[in-house]
Amino acid sequence: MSKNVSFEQAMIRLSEIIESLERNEKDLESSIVLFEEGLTLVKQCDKQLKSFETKVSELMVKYNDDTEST
Amino acid sequence: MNNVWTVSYLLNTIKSTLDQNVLLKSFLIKGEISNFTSHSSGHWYFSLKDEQARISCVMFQGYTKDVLFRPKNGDKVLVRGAITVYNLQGQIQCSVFSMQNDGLGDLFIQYELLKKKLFDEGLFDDNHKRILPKFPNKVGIITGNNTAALQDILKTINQRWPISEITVYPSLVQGEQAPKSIIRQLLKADKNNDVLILARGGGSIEDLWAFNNESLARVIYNLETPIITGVGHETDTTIVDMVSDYRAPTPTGAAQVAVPSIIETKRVISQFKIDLTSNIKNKLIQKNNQLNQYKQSRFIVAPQNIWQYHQLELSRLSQQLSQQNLVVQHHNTRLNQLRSALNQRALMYTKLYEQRLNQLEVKLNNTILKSQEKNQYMFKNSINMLNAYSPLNSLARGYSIVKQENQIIKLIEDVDYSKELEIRLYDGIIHSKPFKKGENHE
Repeated sequence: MSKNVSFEQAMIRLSEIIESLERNEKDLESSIVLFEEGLTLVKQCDKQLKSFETKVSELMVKYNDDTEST
Repeated sequence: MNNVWTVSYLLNTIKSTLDQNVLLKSFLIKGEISNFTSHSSGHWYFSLKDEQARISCVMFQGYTKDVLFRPKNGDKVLVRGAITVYNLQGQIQCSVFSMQNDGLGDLFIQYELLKKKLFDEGLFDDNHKRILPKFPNKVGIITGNNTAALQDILKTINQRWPISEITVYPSLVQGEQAPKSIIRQLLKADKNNDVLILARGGGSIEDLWAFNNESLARVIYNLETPIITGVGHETDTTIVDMVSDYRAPTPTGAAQVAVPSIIETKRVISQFKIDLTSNIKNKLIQKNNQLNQYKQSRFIVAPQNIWQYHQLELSRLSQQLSQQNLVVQHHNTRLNQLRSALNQRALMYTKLYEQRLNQLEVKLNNTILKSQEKNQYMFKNSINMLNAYSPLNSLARGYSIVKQENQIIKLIEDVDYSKELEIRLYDGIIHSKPFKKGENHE
């Protein structure tokens, strides 16, 4: 699992992990590895989403005045 | 005589029979006008005839207003019409939609033939038509120099989209040389503009004839730049209009299509901004919800779910194992049975030996008792012997023992006269005071 996974990819992977755990097809060791990956992805997605939200609010502040005045 | 038709039925039958033939619904017919009458309602009634035949015709007011000349008896004309049955007169008549006078009749036929040819070749196909650019920077206008059409176009563009760069390609728009001139300017304008407008103001059919030119149509078809045409009035449809990417009814109409309205565009942009903002916000919310849903997964919330299955599996296995234990238990039970059997047997033997031991003990006791009795008897004998030699027996026979301070007095001289004497008789002791001989005590 590399750091430069896109948000979308991370979300897809996360849903795969949960599905896999749900299907209970892996042995316990692998499940724990998946669990750890899942938690890492949750953290990553959370962080990315938060940064997206921040970015959107920043952009809106930055560009709002311009478009309003035209 | 049971199949008697009414007149109406007959005429209706004829009518429906004729209606089934599509060829009779729209056809071109050439003939000479006779019995022409213009009714006050605006409808025209006349006959068309040739050397051998004639047919009654009607042209309603809705169509007559588009006829560019006033027909009169003897005019040779070309008309487009359809066959109808007029019940009131019991007549088959031609309902006329359009009329050209004879001089133009040949042109009209040419036009129709060219139109069919180009149509068959696919020059009018919708899927060949290019999409007009929404926001063209460069607009090329091909039209007559100093014409009202040009003024209309320039005015419209400047009102709607003043930022576009306009190039005018002046051209002849009428007469024999017009098609060549237009072609030359089109080729010059092609590739140097985002969109082209080919336009001409209204005029007679002859005036517009340059726009029914085959070479021109083919050049337009092969242009790379999307082209809008606005030739004549709304009712005029030229070959050029049919082959162009967009047919506007008038030059002004062409300009309206060529460029967007700046007011409308501003409105669209502000709407875009609203949409954009709400879209991205919705997307964020949606993704957030999705992520939350993932976070709510029972594996994330309660990770024990991950190994719960394995735990169940473990307890299942341990149960199986404990069933294996039953076998061991069985052996254990058997072992215990054997052990207790062994114990009982051992106990039995122990009791047996205990009994024997008791018997022996009793025997031994008896033996000891006998030897004790014997010893007792011997002991009594000894005592009797001892008694026989005891001093007490002498006392019984009348002897006494005198003691002074626990010393037996055997001689007179041993007596201390100041001290008490103890005289032991057989049955008791007498305490007395000794007296010296001759001494009277009283």
